Amino acid sequence: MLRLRKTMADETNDNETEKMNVREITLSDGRYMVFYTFGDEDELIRAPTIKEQRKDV
Amino acid sequence: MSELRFNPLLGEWLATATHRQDRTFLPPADYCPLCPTKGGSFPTEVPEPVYDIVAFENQFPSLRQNPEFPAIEPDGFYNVEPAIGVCEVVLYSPDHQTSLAAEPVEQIYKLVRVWRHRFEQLEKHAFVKYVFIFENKGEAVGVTLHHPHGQIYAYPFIPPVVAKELKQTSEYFEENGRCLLCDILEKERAFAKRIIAENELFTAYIPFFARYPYEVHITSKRHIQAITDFDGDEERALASILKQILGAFDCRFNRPFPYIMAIHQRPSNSGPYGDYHFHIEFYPPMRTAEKLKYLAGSETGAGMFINDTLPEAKAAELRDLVEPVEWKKK
Repeated sequence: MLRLRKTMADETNDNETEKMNVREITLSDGRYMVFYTFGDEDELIRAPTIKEQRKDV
Repeated sequence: MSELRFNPLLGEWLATATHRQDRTFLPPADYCPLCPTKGGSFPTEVPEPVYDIVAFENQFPSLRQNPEFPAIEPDGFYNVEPAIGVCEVVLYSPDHQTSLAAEPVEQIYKLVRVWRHRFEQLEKHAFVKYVFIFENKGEAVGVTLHHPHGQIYAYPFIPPVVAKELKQTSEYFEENGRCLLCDILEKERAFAKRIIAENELFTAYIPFFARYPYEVHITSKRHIQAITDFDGDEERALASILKQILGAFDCRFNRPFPYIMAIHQRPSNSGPYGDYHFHIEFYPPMRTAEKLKYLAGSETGAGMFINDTLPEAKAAELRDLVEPVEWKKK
C-alpha cells in the first residue's frame, strides 16, 4: 500500500509573508552582487541551519 | 573569451568559454572563494557576511552582458555570435558546510522567493529569451566549488531541451486541446506507484519515462507557466516538497546525494506559451550506492537513454524515506 506523507505547507503558522530586503552592490571588477535578507533586518540575519540548531541541543 | 557558435547539424547553439579553464577547482574549505570574507583572512568573492541568500554575476561566465567580439568571423556558412547573456551564482547560505537538503524549510522558502525575484529581474533584459535556474550538486556531476550554491543562466535563445518540450507540449495541445504536463500529472496520480510525495499544490514523482534511476519531477498542480505565476501558498508548498525530496535523496545512501536540478519554465520572449507547464526535473547520477549512471555510447552518441532500473521500484525506495515537513511557528 502506498504511503504518501503530506507536507504541512497548508498548515503554515500564518498568512503573513516575511518582507524580502534586497540590497545590490557593485564589486571592484564591475559585477553586481545582490544580498537578500528577510524580515526585520535589525533582528533577523538568517534562519539557522540544522547543523547550527544541533549545537543548541 | 566566450562566443556562441551554431551547430548546423543539430540546429543548436553552443558556447566556447576558454577562460573557464582557469576557474577555481575544488579548493580546500579554508580557501573557499564563496565563503564570506573574514577579518584578517584572504578576500573572497563575498565581502559581507550578513545575508540570507546572495546572487551575483559569475566571475567566470559563459555568457556576459557586454561580451567580447568573437575570435572568429562568421563566414556565411558557419554562424558565430557574441556570447551575450547573464550567468549568476546563487549562494544558499554563508555556511560552507550546509546544503539545500540540510537547510530548514524556511530557508528553502526564502530561496524560492529569491528565484522568483531573479527570474523577474533577468527577463527584463531585452536580449534574454530564457532564464534557466539550476543546481549542480556533488563532484559526480562536475561541481568545482563545494559551498552550497545554485546558478542561473539567462540565455539569448531558447535552449534545446526546453525548445523540444515546448514543441511537444504545443503539438499535444493542438491535437488534444489539453496540457501535456497536466495529463502526465493526472496519469501519474491515478497510477500512484511512481508518486513520491504530494501536497495540495505540487506532486513529486519519477515519471513513466524516467531516464535516470532517481529522476524525480516536481510538477505544479495548477496549470501555470513560471515561478512568477506562484501565489504565496505555492511558494511555501514548493519549499515543502523540495525539502522532502532532498531529504529523501540524502537518506537513500546515508550521504549527500549528487544531482542536477533543472527548473523548466516558459521562455522570456513574448511567444504564446500558455500550453507549457512549470516543473522541476532532477537528474541524479547514482544508480546504486557505489555506481554511477554514465552517459555512454547510446545516451551521448545516439540520444537514447538506457535506464537500468524501473521507475516504480525507485519511487517506492524514495517514498519510504520521505519525512513530514515542519514549519517553525512564529
